[in-house]
Amino acid sequence: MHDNRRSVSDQEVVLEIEEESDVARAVVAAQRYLQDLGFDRSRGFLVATAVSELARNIFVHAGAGRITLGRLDEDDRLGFEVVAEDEGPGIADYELAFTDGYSTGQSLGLGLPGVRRIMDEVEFDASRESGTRIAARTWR
Amino acid sequence: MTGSDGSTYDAAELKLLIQRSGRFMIAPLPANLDTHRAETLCEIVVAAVRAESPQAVIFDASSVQLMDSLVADCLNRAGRMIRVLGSKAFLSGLPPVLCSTLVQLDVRFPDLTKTGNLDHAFESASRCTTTEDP
Repeated sequence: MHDNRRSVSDQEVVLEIEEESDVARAVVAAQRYLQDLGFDRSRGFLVATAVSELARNIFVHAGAGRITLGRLDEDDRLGFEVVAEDEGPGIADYELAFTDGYSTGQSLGLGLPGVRRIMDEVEFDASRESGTRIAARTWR
Repeated sequence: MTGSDGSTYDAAELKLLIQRSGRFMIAPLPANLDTHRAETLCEIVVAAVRAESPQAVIFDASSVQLMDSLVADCLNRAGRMIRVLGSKAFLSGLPPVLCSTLVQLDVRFPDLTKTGNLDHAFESASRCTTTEDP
């Protein structure tokens, strides 16, 4: 995974995803976090939806994992980062997973491509043999 | 049952949201529509359609602020079941911010007829329920 050496604030919020209701709680937490960072309302809803997709993937495919919300400060711009991590089976083919319509779970399979469209940057570690770590960032 | 925003709700409370207006049934979708609410409401609506056979069901999304692909899938499945039961299914009043989200997620609602607001939904429902299906 690329190391962009961005400064991530201590104001991280870590949310464990263990039950389906944790997905919804992650969404609410993301909305509040984005509001605190000064993202406008519309953008906040859109990005919170991306968080929802990532959190749901954890629950559906791995059963448990965590979502970390963080603030990014780079030069003169402020951003938001969400990191979705789990120790599940991992993603065998990332390019396929980010393809519209592909699904191995019970959803429509639209989550990851949608995340990539909503967020400014998406990174994943394709070298992992198991588990998943996806980081997505957007700038205000 | 507790929703994502901490508010408590149960099936009975969601059932109260559903209104009957002549031949049609209106199901307002609550704001912050999470999966639990969506699945519960859709189950209630489908059961009501089975019991009351309205000519059309209108899901009113004007209060919804956020919808992910799983919630959209739930609505799609409800739309399919409503059609199987012989009623028409509409989705009205999607707010602009939600439309943007759905476009980004590439979500479609093939079994729900979309309208801009409830008035348009009623007009469309009236037209298609007085026209014989081929």
